[in-house]
Amino acid sequence: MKILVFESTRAVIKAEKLIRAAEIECRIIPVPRTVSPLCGMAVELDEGSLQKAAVLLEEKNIKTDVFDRGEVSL
Amino acid sequence: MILNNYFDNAATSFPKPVAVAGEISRYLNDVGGPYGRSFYSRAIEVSGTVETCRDMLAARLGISDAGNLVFTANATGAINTVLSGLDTAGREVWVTPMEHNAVMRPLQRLQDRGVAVVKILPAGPDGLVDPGAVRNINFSSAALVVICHQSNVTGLIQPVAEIKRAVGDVPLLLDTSQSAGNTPVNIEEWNIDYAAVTGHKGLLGPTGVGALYMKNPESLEPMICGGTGSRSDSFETPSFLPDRFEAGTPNVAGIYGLYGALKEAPEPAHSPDDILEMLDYVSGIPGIKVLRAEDANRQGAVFSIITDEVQVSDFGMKLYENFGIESRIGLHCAPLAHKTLGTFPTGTVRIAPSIYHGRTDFDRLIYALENTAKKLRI
Repeated sequence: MKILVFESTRAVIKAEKLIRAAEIECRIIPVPRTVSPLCGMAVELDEGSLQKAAVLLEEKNIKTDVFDRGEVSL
Repeated sequence: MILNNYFDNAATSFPKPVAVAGEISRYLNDVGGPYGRSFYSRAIEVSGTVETCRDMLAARLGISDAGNLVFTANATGAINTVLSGLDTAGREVWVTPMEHNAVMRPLQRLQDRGVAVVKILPAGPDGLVDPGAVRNINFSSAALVVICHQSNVTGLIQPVAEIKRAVGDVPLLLDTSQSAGNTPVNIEEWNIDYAAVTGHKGLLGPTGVGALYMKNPESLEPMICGGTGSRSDSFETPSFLPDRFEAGTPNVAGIYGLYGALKEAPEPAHSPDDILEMLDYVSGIPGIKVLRAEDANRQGAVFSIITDEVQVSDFGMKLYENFGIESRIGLHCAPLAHKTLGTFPTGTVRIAPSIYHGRTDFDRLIYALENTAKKLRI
């Protein structure tokens, strides 16, 4: 699994909408504390969907940092 | 048929679309929860609605990137953010002669502190700015130009795009308090730098929610700093939007209400020609003088009247007592506009229809004005 972290709530909401509209499964999770001190939302999706999602986000100029689930303790 | 006697829509609009109270109630009674800051479904739904509202508002104002639109409490908050956040030290701020005190009071404070010099743009007797004369102004010391898009006293609509072309690179702040929802607003097409918006007038939303558009957000310092739910490890204010200009918990209930207003925006019950026809008729009533745009093409759905022989307060009171007409009497927080029009300090009776008023309501208004003028022996 991959964790996508965004700088703002607006970016998370736009990203989730965009990813779901492309029929990519994802879910919103709290930002893992080992990743970032943000107190908000992150998006989790399958590793196999990451590339497609990343292209969509780049097209809409939505910046994200990607982390492996293995890097974080959930 | 229920007649709509409320003609004070330039203060705040009434009625609202049913969805306004419906959405506020849905948020307060059913949905609840914060904007951002958490991960559960409730927070996601709230955050999604806030962002949908931002997108819809941007679309309504001709803004392609809603990310450059931040929520404020009202247009006054948006205007103060620009005037306090822009570097105006020792420089000029140019305004129209029709500005509201939402602009003039913060500017007066800046001027008193020696931070800015206020100058008035050249205009005709009705306050219409002359773009040709503006082109001859030396703006080398100018920090900002402020334009009241639609006068809250006369309904005069300024030629925004022409003024922006005339001022060139000088940033322009457009106050859309009276125009948004009542007359077309095309922020990007007109190359506007900053726009102040309120939700509770022509947009038909609730009080307590507005917005600020910034073409170049990096040009401003935020007026308020605080928690945003982002970069929470730092004392530094985030550099990105909307967080940089949305510190503190936003008025989520108000934003839900504005969302309701935007998704169920009604079709106007009258045309611009209906307004002009009414104005022409009222202008012909003996003893009443109508204050309006000289050019009919620049007239919005607000106007004022003064009377020859009685105080405007008496006239407005009789309109209410005898006919139930709810108008606004006085200076309407726009002393500069009244000085321009020659109605300072006595002011005017202001008539501000809403999108819900139709010809039958206007006929009733005309009847009331005509008979009040007659009874007061004007």
